[in-house]
Amino acid sequence: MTRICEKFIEEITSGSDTVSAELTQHLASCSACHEAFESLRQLKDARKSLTGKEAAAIAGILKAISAGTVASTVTASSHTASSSSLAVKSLVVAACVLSIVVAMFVHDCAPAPKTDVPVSVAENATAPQIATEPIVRIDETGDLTDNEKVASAAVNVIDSDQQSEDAENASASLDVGVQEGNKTGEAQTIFVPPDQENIESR
Amino acid sequence: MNKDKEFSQLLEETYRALSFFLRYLGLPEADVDDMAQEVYLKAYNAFDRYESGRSFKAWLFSIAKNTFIDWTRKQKTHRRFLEMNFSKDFCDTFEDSSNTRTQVKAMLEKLSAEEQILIELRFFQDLPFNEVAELAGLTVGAVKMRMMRILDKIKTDLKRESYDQNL
Repeated sequence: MTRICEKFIEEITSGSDTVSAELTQHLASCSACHEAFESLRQLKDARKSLTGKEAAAIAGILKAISAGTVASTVTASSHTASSSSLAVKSLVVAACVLSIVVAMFVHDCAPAPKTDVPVSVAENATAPQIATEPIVRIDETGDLTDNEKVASAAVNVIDSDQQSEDAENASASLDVGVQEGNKTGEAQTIFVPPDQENIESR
Repeated sequence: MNKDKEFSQLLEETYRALSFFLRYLGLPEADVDDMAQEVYLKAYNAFDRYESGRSFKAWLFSIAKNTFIDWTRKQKTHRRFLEMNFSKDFCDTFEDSSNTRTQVKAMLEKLSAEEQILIELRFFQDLPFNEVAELAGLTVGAVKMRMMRILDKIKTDLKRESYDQNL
């Protein structure tokens, strides 16, 4: 078995009807290439034309292509419409955001009327502590030059001693928290009114 | 020539080969028509961008191969499935022996599916060797070697046939 020449393999297997002069001369001299060339020609002659099924498939593809082009034009027009509506939507959103920003800016620039309120609340909250402190200072460290004050201070000391003794006797079982509550400035102002004590003692 | 007319002519020339090529790649016969339609739609939409320097048929078949690869990714399968009736259907596209001088059909049945698709792409579609090699996943040298073997088989069978007829 002789093989066909590699030089002409491309032209022999090309399937084209036109044959070059070089190949024609070669086919006349080379039996192997000539037989191969003839066998391929017979293959081509024996090929059937398109069947009905294949023709129907081709017609379907052509129909789909024409429908596809129509659909593509429709989608293109709808795409332009949707893009225009999208632009309007974006404009509306931008306007909303701008209005919100402007409103926030105006709100920040306006004077705040409620700034004094927290200060007054703080002062009110600290006021009782300031009021109680002088009473305690008077009782402990103040200069008692006035007689009334001396007397009241003495009564105050006596009363507080008595009350503390009474409290110790009456409630020996009380806890430390209660005892500390009795020693506060509020308790002293309630139990020792200086004017009344001065009158009673005189 | 009008674009639609030219495309329909190319469609008629290539449809059979394209459907066999898709089946050779491993596409089930039931999906061939749908994928062929998808391939031709892609080709038609890109027909204006087609490079005239390259063979249109080679370009079309490369679209088919890429479409098939996309399909396998969607199917999540890499298994190649060549149907049993591929060779029979391919040989059925040739005339029976009673109508021709030689038994071409019987001769083609002896070839493998790879050899049959190489004949289809190279001889009937006139694709260049490098394009055939790329589509079949072979080297150019391997394609040439296979084509020489195919021609040897064919001419040997034809010679035997003519010898038997002369007896």
